[in-house]
Amino acid sequence: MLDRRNFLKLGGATAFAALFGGCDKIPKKIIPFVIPPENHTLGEALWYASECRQCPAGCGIVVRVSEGRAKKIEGNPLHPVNRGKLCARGQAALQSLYHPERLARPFALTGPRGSGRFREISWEEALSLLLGEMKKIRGKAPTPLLMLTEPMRGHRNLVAARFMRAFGSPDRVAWDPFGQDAFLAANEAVFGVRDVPEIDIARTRYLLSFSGDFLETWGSPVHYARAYGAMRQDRATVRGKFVHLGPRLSMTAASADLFLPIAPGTDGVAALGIAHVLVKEKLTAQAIGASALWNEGLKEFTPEVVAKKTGASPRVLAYVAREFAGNQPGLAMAGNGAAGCTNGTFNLACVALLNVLAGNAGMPGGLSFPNRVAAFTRYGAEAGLLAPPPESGYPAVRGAVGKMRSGGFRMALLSGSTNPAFTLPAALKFREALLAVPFIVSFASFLDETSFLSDLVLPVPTFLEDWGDDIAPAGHSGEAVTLSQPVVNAFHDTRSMADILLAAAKELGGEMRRALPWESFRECLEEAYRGTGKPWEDALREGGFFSLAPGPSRATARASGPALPKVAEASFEGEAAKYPLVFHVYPSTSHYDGRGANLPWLQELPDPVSTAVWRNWVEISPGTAKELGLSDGDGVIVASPSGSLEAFVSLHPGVAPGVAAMPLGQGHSHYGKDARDRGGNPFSILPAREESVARGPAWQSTRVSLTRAKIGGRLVRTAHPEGQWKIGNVM
Amino acid sequence: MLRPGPKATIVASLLVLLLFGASVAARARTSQPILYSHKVHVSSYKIDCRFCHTEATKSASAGIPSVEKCMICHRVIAVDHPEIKKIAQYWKEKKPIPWNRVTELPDHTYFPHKRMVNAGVPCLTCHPGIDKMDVAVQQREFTMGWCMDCHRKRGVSIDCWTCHV
Amino acid sequence: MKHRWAMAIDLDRCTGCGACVVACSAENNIPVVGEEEAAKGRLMHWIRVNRYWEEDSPSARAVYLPVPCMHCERAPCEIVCPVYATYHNEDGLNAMVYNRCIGTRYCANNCPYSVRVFNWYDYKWEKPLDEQLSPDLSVRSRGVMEKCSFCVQRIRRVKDKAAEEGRKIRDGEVQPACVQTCPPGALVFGDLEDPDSEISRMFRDPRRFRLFEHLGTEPHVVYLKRRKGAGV
Repeated sequence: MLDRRNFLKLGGATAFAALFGGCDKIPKKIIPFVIPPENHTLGEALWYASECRQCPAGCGIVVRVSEGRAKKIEGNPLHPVNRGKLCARGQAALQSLYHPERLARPFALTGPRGSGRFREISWEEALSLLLGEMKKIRGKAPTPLLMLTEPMRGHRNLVAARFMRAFGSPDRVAWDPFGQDAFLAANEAVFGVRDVPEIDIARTRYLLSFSGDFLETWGSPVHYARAYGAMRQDRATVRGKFVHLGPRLSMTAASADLFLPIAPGTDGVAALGIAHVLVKEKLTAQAIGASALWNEGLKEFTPEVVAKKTGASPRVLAYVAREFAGNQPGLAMAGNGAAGCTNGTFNLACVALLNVLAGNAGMPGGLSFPNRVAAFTRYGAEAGLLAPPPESGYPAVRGAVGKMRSGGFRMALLSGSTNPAFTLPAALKFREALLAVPFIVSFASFLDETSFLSDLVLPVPTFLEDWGDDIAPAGHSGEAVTLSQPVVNAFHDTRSMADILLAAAKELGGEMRRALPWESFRECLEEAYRGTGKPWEDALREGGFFSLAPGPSRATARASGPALPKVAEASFEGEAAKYPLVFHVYPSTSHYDGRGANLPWLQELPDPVSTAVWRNWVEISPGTAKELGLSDGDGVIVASPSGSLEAFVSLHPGVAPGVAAMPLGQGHSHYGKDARDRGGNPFSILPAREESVARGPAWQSTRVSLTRAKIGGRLVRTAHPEGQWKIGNVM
Repeated sequence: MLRPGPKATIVASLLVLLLFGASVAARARTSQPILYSHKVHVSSYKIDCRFCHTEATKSASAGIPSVEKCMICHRVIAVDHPEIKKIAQYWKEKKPIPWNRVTELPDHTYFPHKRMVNAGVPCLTCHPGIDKMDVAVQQREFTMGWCMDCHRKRGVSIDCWTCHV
Repeated sequence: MKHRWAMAIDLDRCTGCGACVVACSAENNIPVVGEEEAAKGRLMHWIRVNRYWEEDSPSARAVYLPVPCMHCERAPCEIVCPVYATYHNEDGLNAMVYNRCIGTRYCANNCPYSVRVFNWYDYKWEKPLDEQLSPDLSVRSRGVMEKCSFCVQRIRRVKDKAAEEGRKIRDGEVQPACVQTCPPGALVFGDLEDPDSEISRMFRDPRRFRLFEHLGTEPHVVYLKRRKGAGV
């Protein structure tokens, strides 16, 4: 009951609370400098140039740093690869630097492996553990040490290579799940050059893409996207046409003027169908001279035969061939979907053949093979180490797994964003093999599936806090070397792998010290670039050296003329009766190979095709769904002969019949709370098969079944289920 | 139900008054690690504001002078004064002096000193009497109305987004 | 100096990559809401990329439509705010004043483009992610509407610099985060008061159209229609 006395008490208490609560004039500190830095204006941000490592493209970036904190990443306008532009992955990298779950200091395992029981240790203890083990196994070559990393770039690769060589260990493996093995083999067969070409999309008039994903994740996406924009609208009277053939309407294909769905693994045959028309109707100068090609077997690939194999209309194929020839310079490209089949090299060689028939090698709007390491000839045989190896390293990985399992290694040094425990098929049993190695060291910024299994985890800086140099795999012709520098002081107590290897070499002494004489990796870089004619400080400020002398373009035409690639058909594991759908996988635009999955901005970015966020999904066409009795949003078990996982169905009208598609990169079991428990990992259910010629991983070589199941959660998508079909309402 | 007697009520009321008084006092007189007197430096020695608050013409924030700046003079001037000895100690240890903020704007307000200062607005307009204070105190309540009066008078932007972004 | 800021989006260049979305989130202290809230349609992106299917057939095409705030000249959101927290400023921008907003959400209700987002919670930036927050603009608290501002903090910075240097703002000098990062160069930004600017040229392009033109909101964002390739 509220009588007068209680009312006053209540009133007093309220007033008391209000006064006390309102007493927010608690003094805040205002801290001046002790000695102010020169030329520093308070509150004005500084921009530092560096290089992005969120994917292998190596775009140049500039980072806005305010009061010692990195605030925004932008593309470096001076950099030839991306010219000031940057993709979503690069923009999100700030969250990696300031991630709450970053490893801040070294950890040593205290419980059984995989238990997650680590204790923090000092760097002194960590390094003494590392060196202790190294000294134990050092003896007569070959020493039982495995180094398994991502493809390392620039002088980091040189340091690692020299370290292993001096240590007496031949087992240095670089793993890239999206390596270019099939491309290299195909280009070698067709052009005589074993390299990834420069592709001049900007000046082409007709772009033929075979399962290409160059606007999203393949090669140098920002560079190609920029060129694509130019191809479309930069020229006053020419708008380049873009035709895409493939089993799925990807984000890249969505921009095509014409999308031709073809059966998985038939990209090569489709290309031969187009080549057939070119040669038969003598549509280009090179086609006229290709009688050998014709007689070798191209004459068999009539549009009707090709139509039967691919599912594309013969009339349309012929039309495209004529249009391609009539709109030169024309350019043909292929992507991961074509390369990852068991007949990947064949597919890519046929696509490359189209470029030969178009005669575009070395021409504007075509492709060329510059020598991107031309500036480093003084390194001799080691020059190749400075360019990132384009191969996947799959045969070496398989070899290493076998050797680990049989006890051939006493120590393993693991590093990099490619996270082999996540990106290798479960069928390869990488985890079990790794656990057979007595001492595992990881150089990592996060506890992902691989570093989680280690005995010793050494925290490394993120690329925003790291020194480095790099020759980008595409987007320049050898005139550019990118430099990375720390844009902020190291946010945690981290040391780069290169610096740790140098310190170890110094400690181990002798031959190792001679091979790696530098005190720090920074010193190594400064020495390497002394005498290039440009002051080091200027190069750092600009983000690299962009006017080195490019070498001559390498020979592209085979003297013997184009030969018909050895015909191979794609094979898929699993009998069609039990596994009715071909499994098509592709790197996710947000997560790439999984490295972006721990960044909230990328998890929250709706996928361009499915518009899904925060979870994994499997795409099938409405027709396929009807056949299987599935509806949009259903939970299913996706099962292959190698494993199974749970996912939600997302209907996609642009997926070819008989195909189920899933993005790669989601489905972590570790790597942070934003990455964990977001669906299954498609890498795990892929077969451990190799592409038949180049021996890269054949990701597109299995069939799957989809069975409806009750699974936890639901798929969140931003597209309106009805509105997404009603484009007429808005335009 | 709580029924405190009259004594308890009086004690409670006194406590409330005391806290109220303390909060007012705290607001009025922020203590500083070193007893810096603006009166001595500005009124007596006629040092210009911008000599120490160098960033006022270049930045959004006017800046607090660095320890180095203090030492420019106090390396030789008044070295035996106990407060100067404190500065010397900070300098020796290369530690910044942890001043307590005196003047503060309400939240969500963008105030660039350089635009004001470069437009010729005298420092004393917003920091009145600072030149005569031994202990710095914020005399003005920075209400929006007060800012707007001057903006209107001078014919400069009264667009909300000029100050509130 | 009068300005009239506007944006053009060339759909023939846009690839739907979403770089603009992340760049905007990084520049403007936009919170991450998580899966639960995303399911309720409460993503806080100030620019979004809509994906439409063009045909329901195997050769279906997808069309991408980036949608920022239109900064309508006759904005439906401005007239319904009871406290005048959103208004049209002298530069032609639709301004949102967070301190005034009391969270009635009438403005979002009235916006035909659904570009306004509401802070349903006091979103937290788990330390040390808050180190990345931009000091140039507020972090909004619960109960406040927000939306794309054409990166007014960047416009202001350039205006300040030009005023200091005693010159006019150059065409292309002001670039909102989305415009700056767009790899195919689909987004263009500039001042319509400058008849020689690229944006003025794009506003005269025959391919131009505006969203929901018939509603008479007079948006400051113009889209350039995607061309169809000749042939089949």
